[in-house]
Amino acid sequence: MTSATKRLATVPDADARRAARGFWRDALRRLRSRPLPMAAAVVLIILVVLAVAGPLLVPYSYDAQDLLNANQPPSAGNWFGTDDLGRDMWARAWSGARISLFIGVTAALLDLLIGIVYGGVAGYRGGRADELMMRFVDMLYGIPYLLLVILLTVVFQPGLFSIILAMIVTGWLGSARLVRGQILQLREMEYIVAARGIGVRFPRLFARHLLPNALGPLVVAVTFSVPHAIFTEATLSFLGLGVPAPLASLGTMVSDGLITMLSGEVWRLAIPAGLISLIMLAFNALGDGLRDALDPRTLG
Amino acid sequence: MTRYILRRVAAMVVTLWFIVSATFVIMHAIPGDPFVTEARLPETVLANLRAYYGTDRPLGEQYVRYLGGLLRLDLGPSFKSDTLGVNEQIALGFPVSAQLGLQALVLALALGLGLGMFAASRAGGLVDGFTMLVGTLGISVPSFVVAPLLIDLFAVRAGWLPVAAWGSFASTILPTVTLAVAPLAYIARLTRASVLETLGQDYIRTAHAKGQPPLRVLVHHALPNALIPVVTILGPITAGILVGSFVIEFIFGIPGTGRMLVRAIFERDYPVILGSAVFYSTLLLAFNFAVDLAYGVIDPRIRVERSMS
Amino acid sequence: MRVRTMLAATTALALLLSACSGATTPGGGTQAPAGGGVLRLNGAINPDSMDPALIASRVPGEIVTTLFESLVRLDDKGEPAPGIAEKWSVSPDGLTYTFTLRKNAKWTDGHNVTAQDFVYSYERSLRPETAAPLAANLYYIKNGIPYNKGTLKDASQLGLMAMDDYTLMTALEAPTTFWLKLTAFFNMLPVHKETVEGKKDWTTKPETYISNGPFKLKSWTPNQEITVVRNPDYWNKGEVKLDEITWKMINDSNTAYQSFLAGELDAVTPPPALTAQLIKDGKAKVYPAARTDFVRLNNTKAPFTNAKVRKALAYSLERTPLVDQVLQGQQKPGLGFIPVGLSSGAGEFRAKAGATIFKEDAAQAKTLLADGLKELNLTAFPDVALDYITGDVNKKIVEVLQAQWKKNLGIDVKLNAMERSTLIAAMRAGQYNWQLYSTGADFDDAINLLTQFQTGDGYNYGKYSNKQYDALIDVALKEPNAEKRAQAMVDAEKIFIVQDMGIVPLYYGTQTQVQQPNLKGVRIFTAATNDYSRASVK
Repeated sequence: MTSATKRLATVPDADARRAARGFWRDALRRLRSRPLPMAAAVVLIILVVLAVAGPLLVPYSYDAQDLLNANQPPSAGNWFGTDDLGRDMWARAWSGARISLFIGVTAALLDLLIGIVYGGVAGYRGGRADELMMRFVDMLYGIPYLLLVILLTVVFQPGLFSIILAMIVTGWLGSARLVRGQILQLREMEYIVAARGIGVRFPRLFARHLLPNALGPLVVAVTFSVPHAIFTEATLSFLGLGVPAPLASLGTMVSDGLITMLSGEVWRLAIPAGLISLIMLAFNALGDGLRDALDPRTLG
Repeated sequence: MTRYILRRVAAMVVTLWFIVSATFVIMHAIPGDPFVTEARLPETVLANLRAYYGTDRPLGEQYVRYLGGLLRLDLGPSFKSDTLGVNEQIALGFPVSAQLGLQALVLALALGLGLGMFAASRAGGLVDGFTMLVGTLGISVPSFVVAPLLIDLFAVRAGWLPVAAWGSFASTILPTVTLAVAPLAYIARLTRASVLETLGQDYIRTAHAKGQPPLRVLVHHALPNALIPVVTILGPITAGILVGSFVIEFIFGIPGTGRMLVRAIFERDYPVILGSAVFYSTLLLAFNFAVDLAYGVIDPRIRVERSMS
Repeated sequence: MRVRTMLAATTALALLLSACSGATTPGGGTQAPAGGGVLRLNGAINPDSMDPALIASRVPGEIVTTLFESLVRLDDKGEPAPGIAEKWSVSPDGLTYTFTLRKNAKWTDGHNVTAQDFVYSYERSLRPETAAPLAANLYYIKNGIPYNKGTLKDASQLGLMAMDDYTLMTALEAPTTFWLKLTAFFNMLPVHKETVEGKKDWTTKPETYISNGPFKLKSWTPNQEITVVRNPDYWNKGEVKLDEITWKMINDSNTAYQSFLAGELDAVTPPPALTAQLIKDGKAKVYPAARTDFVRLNNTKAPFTNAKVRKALAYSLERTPLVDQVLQGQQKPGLGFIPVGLSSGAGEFRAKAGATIFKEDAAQAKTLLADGLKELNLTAFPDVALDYITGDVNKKIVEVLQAQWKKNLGIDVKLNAMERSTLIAAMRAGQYNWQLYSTGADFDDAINLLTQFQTGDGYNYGKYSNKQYDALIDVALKEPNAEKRAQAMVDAEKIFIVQDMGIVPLYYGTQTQVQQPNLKGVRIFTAATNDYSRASVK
């Protein structure tokens, strides 16, 4: 048992929260001292800001066509050039990034939510219920992820929410396992046993004590599952199952832009592909940094 | 040990049954009838087709029949191809997919481990920087971008390798590389991190202090321990390679099971979809089982821990 | 230096090898000297069937067209030329065709091709148990429809008769001016009875694949390639120059084009985004395709029940920018229904009917829309999604339509991407409002497309219905006089488009191909399967 949790085990409710806050402050300090994850965080903030505000900086809508102005390279008028229907690539790229980030974040958060509830219940109940619930998770794990996502997207018909839905059908398994493992460990701690002893009920116990202490690894998991979801959507786009027109995600833009490797208007591929890569890199670097910062082994 | 194996096998059978049932339900929820095309077939003809393939029967009966066939290892006929049943399609496609997957796995492991170790031994240097670059690019560029790029560079412009057409060894190089990129990057990063961590341990410092040559320390002392995390992710990596080949087989026109499955999904070829789901899942389960058994042999503690969880 | 020597050595080896294989080509002795070369094409996906009666798609159709020969084969200009039939005669009422078969036409097992073979093959295609997907092409044969539907069981009542081994008679339901051309279609190719009846998997192996055409099957490696080799016993082998034709199976169109660039394929359809540049550079050849792309309107669902609304949608589009700026494959704006290049039976249809039969007019469209909506008691254009099949080109088209309707009519049209099978299922069930669709002719006569909008026709998924139109189509189906018949079709199109606007026509399709410079003699037709049997690569 680490010293932090040992201390937690003996303090009452309010102190426990304060201690948890201290833990996060420590983690943040450790994170700040590392250049790469911090750079990644800054990049992500900039990306999110541009994804929200970027399209507003130009006088074009992401779906406004100008057929006579198609396939123009980047210029002062169109900072990222135009696509094959003469649509402004700057507006498209950022609204595409918005859609991709929305898909990634929503899918990751929903995975987390389901995982927390399912894993929390399984871990807390333990015994027979836990055994059964985890068997079910194992079963779903046996189905190849991409195969299932493709099948479900076909069943639901491609659309923004149906794609997210298809991804979370088995996407929550990882976080459920994670939460359950954490809870299983914490559940036997003295302070939890004590809290139970004085009649604190499960939902409160879960929200106040178990969850905050399991949060570290979960945050790391989310940082990795956002880019995974973005990538999966891109693969679906390649198979023609991405978000339907006139919506465009970075994935559908990359997939539409593949042809430019042969036709020459490479900015139509390089810009969305570059953005995907940047998002992937930033999330991965941030995830690595967070993992190191939150690693209990580095706790002093 | 025998009891453990028996339990695992029983669990696998139940899991498989669950997967078959789930896929069966999902598949029949897909809108669209496999025999309905633009062509105007008279009702009598459609009825004949449905009767021949048994799709006119109640779903429950179709389900029981399918399970019966499965017990005889018969995955049934394809709705679309009149020459190749599901068993034949898998028998034709799997050796190709397996060869591609195996080549990619070997390449990813060999290069990933090598680069990772080399980078760790020169941490902060040029090689290290290069490795990290490969490691990050490899997981951030979609394979459907890498594939046409490689084709353009090495097949169309340089003319060194064939574009598509599976057959000779040369034709397998580009798809193998494309498929290996992501796991290679992952393995290289993991190996680097893990070797660096091991190198910081006391026993390594001791070895260095005793005056052993650095390479010997790296290979004999650091590597064995550093490899453990790589071994533990072999399972997911293999699964990833297996499924990752969907897109790559499609782009390179490779006659494997991945391409077959994607086509079957779009054409509503139910028996092929079901058959591949069963096949892929069995493969995945068997593989995970084998990995677990291997752990048990290597390190008994792991087995206990796993059977507890 | 070393590289160069090695290269020289391999070239010499390759020459040696090709010389060897030339000497041992199957069939040996009797054939024309080898060295005609190999033609390499892309077949995209593994054929579901190689049995002419069971094929429903283009590429397998192309392949069997080189393996078999029907009564006639289309010549360079797409006109029927003698095939297995040496000559033929038509009865004055146009109902009976009598074919005299040549005596030197042989199956690859050595037997002669006889009239009974044709009777058998056509009866088999119409048999309900065969479930031939394109059996409708044989409905022109007397009693073909009831036999295919299973209501008539007696095969002898079909309009097919072998007068003797080399005389075939076909009796038709109505004078069918395009009957001869139709017999060249791939699902009208004859098959070998003993083979087809005896061996279920006869199409999979060269030994059991008995055919009668310019080529015979050499190998079929599923999902990889099909190779056919010159048939030394083909009656007209003098016209065949190639040694072999190979269809590789590469489904990704970008990869296929890259294969072409690398010299691994001799001809491909380039990806749509490249066609404009390739045409400009003179590298791609464009052929008419007898295909019309249109928006199918469900005539039973509001607001498409109203002719003014339908016209407003059609008048408000700008087809020239769609074709020139977006599609760029030299398609023609569709200001009519029947595509350019298709025959009326008395000359090209569009030449007779006029190139355009309505005008684009945004201002008029706006008025029409307002009037139409008022008649329907609607205050605004309802929120009905336009369905389209997923795919790059379709997506671009609907995005352009969406923008043009917004600009010219001020309406917001929602788009709904659907997967092909799903869209077709919805279409057949009538559960859709409007959808982007495309229809092409199987044979070179406008009637093939026009019947699709007759009341009660199996293809009339938009439920367009107009008694005058139905009557004119009936005339066109029965009238033996070609001029009168053509006029009936021209009048029918006017009712369908000018008066009712049953659909929103968009453009007339084309097919584009890039070919290596040495490829000659490919026969690409407006409304028939490509024929590679007379091509050469030298």
